Amino acid sequence: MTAQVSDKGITDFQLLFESVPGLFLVLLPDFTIIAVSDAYLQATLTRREQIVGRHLFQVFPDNPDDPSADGVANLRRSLERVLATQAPHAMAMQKYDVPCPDGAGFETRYWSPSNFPVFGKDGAIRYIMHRAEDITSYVQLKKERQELGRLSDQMQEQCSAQELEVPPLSGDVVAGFRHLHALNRALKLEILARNQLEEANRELTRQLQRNIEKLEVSNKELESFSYSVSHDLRAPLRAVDGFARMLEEDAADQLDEEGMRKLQVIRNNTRNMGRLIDELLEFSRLGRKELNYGRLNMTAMARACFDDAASGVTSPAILQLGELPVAEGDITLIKQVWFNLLANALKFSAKREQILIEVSGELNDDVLTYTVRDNGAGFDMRYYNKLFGVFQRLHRVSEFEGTGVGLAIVHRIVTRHGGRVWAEGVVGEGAVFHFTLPAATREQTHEQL
Amino acid sequence: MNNFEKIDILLVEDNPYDAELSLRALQRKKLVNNVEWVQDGADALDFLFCTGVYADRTKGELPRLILLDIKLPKVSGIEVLRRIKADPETRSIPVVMLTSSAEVQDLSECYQLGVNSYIVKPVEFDSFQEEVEKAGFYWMLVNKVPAS
Repeated sequence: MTAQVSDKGITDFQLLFESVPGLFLVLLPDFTIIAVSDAYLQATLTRREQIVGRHLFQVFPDNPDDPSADGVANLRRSLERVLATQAPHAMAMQKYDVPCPDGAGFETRYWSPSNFPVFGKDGAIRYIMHRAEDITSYVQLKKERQELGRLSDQMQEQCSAQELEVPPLSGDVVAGFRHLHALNRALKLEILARNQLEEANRELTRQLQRNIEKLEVSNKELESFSYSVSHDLRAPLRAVDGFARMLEEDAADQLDEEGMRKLQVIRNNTRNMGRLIDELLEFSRLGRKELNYGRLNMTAMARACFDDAASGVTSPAILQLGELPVAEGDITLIKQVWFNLLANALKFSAKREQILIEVSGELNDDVLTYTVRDNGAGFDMRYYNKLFGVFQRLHRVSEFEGTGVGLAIVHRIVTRHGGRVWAEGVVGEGAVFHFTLPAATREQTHEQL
Repeated sequence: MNNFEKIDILLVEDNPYDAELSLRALQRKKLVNNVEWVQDGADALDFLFCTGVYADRTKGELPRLILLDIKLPKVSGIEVLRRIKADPETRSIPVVMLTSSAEVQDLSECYQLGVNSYIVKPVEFDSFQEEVEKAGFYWMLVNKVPAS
């Protein structure tokens, strides 16, 4: 400050300025420091003779150890703005590290600075008054609080993830601690509940284990049952047929035509029963077989099965086959479905002069539907409930051969794949069989139906 | 008491009717003259290794073919097969399993033990006869075993 203010008050004014309870610097428009308050010196760990008369940014450089330090640049921008706009400017909060007087590094500080122009009589800016407020302790408090808040939020999140009631967090630190206590209690309860849950889980696992063991036992029983069926039921049948045959060979001259016919009836029925046992075993094996999923070219599969099944049919048979959508399933089993349906269609059309079998397929809403239509004998819808049952037949053996297992097998395979099977028939006009498969890829399932 | 004739085929079968059918099938084609029929696994082992009731049998007089049922009283057919294939004396005798069931597990176990053939007995006599004749013909007349 120069003597322009008053002759007598020069010294006093300087004293007064230096003593103001605030952090003030007075700069020339070229940013040379010409005056400083004691408070500023204290806050910046400097002495008056170190800084007065020197350029602001020589005295206060950025902390070279802090790559993000931008205090100098910000301050310069603010000061230049004041010069350009001739108006005061308040800067945003600045992090500016203060150089320690002994040269031992920098001390982290936060500032709230503002710059005011001081005009001369000619209206030009003569000085810039720089005021700073040290808000380091405030910032640190705020940071701590933020950290606390963040921790609380985390716990709150954890708690709400565990569906626990948590009171809203107050900004007050004391309330924060209370809140922490509440959280603690809640967590203890949670741990208790969790322990109980784990115990319940263990009990469930034990039960599940027991059920699996039971299932394994009954599966083994089932296997030994089918083994017995296959072994023990076939042996006596073999004897019946074998001895009937021996009788036929050894005593043919003692038997008349009727006697020979009766022997043939015995042998035919033995053969039928053998076939029934074999098919029943096959049916039970299907239920136990694991499904091996793969991509299935249904068009090729349907054609191959038709050719296979048609080889035993005497009437000329025409297959009308469009492009079928690709499916996912167990190739062996789905092939069996096609074969059984097509063999069925051919069998029940065998008395037509011209057999026509139409096979089509479509994809709708993630469901694949395949259809086999024939112009054969059809069936009476009144007996529909027997159609897919094991050993159920809707035709007399004298009309059409068969054991009544084919459609039951179709039903079981399609159901195990998560699909459906149904049919429509009109006596004397033909039958239509539909089956569906889920279009989406399914993981291997081991479900046993 | 070395009065046992040279045995061509050892038939191990507990079911007498199956045995009769097998014997008839084998003898029909005059494939064999001497078939020894035993009714359980223990007798089969006694016969082969000259123990028990067959203790007086001349050792080394081994059948040229063994027809072996799987499901047998006392010692199972699979165990008999294991013993036959484990002994250097008997290892080279062709063994044909005759069984009522085509359980996959039995089948693979028998092949692992070195069975020579595996026949599922058909219910129909004609097919049964055909299978037994085929096995007898092949293993008795076609197949050559190392001279003992």
